[in-house]
Amino acid sequence: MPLLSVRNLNVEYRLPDLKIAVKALKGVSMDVNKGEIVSIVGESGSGKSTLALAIMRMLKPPAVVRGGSIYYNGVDILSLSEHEFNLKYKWVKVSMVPQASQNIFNPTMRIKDHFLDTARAHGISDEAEVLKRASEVLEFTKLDPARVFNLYPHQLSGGMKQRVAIALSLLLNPELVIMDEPTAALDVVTQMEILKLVKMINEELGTTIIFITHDISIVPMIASRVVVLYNGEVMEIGPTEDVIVDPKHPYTKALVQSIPSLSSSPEEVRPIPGEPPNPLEDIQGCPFWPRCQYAMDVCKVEKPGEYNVNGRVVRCHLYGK
Amino acid sequence: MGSDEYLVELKDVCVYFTERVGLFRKSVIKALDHVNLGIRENDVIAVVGESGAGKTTMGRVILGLQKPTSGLALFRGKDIYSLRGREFEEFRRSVQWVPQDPYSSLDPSLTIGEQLMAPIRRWNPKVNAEARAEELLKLVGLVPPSFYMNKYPHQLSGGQRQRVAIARSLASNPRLIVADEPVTMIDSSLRIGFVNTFIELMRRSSLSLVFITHDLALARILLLKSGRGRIVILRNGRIVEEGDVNEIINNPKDEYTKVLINAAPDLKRWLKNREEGV
Repeated sequence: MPLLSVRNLNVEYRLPDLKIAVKALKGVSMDVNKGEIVSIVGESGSGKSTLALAIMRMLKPPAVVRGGSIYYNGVDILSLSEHEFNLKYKWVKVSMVPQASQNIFNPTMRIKDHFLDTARAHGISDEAEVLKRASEVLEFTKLDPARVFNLYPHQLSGGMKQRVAIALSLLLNPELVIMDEPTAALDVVTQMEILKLVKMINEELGTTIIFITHDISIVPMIASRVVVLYNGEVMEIGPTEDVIVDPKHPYTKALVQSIPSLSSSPEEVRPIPGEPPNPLEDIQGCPFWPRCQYAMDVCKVEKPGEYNVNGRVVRCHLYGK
Repeated sequence: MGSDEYLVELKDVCVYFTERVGLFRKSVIKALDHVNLGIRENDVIAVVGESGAGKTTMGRVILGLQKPTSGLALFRGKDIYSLRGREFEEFRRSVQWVPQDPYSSLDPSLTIGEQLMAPIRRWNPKVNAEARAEELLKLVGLVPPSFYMNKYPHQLSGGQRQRVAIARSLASNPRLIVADEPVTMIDSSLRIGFVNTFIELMRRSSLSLVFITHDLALARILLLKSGRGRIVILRNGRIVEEGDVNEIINNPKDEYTKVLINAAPDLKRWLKNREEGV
């Protein structure tokens, strides 16, 4: 049984003023196995963060779950009461490193107090014990607790803040950590260090990790499996190597081609044709067809089913029949 | 003073910031340390380095926004910080800026058309501002322009906003654009589209570009596609390497350049290593 299983999840952002509901996730299904790092890749607006927040049950109005289930060890965590979820799951079993972690800290609180505050929210009031645990996780993230504890957030560099945010997510020793773009605002050298840290957390602590990113070129450095999202729908799921070496879905193919390597010739790097989808417009059929060079008539009217191609999930009509 | 061979030239520029440490002690941060750089007409310079290397400070000196502690910043051979009146106007018109964050660089209370027409009227009162604004939107790939003219920034995506910021930087018909991490906030799959836009802009008019980034692979593609220019690697306020991009990437002399190259995510290198079983 997978550790986490998302089944047919639908999430909408309701905008009553405009009399519309934006569908952010449309029938998303994916599994996360215990002990793995799985990466969720997609462009802005593809639903990556919405998926993360849905798993954490941190979606706030106007976002609403419109159907589907999220099973954690077989328990549908969407059916639990908020109280029970917060007590037994949130941060205890599943925690999160939110997007733009540089800005999640309270500027008036010392780093130490962020740890105490987090522990207090989960009913742990023994300060000495919390600080001992906080020191452990800070040391694990290669920070010096004695120094960092008494600093204010503005006294830390971007990379250090990211490490503190990761340490905070590990405070209650969770089984699963969701990291939302943990390297987005960092330069490449710091990014490399954070990727190494994430791998180390996975290997040494055995923590399962969902790693969300818009940059498919860092995925092979970190994840064993990858889920490609586009416009709120899964396009392709499979082992990282297979997906990158031989992308099956035309979107994955275009995504891989759009990112230059240090040895790419200028001709082989191509932008994905057309414009990213407007979330306010409902696209009939496959969401990628307006930009797809393989688009057929059926793509414009019918949503592709989930096809199994060499052990991979691919949602594309090219693989039908 | 300097020669006017260069559009903008930095000569032995130092920018030091003093920071108070505790009550009495001060420490000096050398944001730029004896930097020399010449930017010609139709030049392309990609400035690469990690956070804190001095990339933005260098951009600000070129833009006349940061006075060097010592050394000279010259515009057509004259000290930028001594320019007055007409001469300063000419400098300001000629050297423009595309900032990093398109979420904070546009005025939220103005429509896209208004943000573009204001600088057009400021610099060129005689032209039809509306027609020129639509032309600029077309140049940066926002078509049809009429669709964008009456929109507010919050109605556009991050990528579209950054295109507006580029269009705005063109309003004064500049000779040089300093683009400070213009694609850092943009999805990696969209970045190549921005490189193509800059290439197209340079192809259409005589325009120099200083492109500040920490994405080495993207800087390389920009230089190869434009068929000229060079890369400058900054570290701790110093230029540690400067020259032809392929030569530097294939044969880095400086240790730090090697670190940058190894840290750059690279799908092709990953594939190659995988085939060779590394």
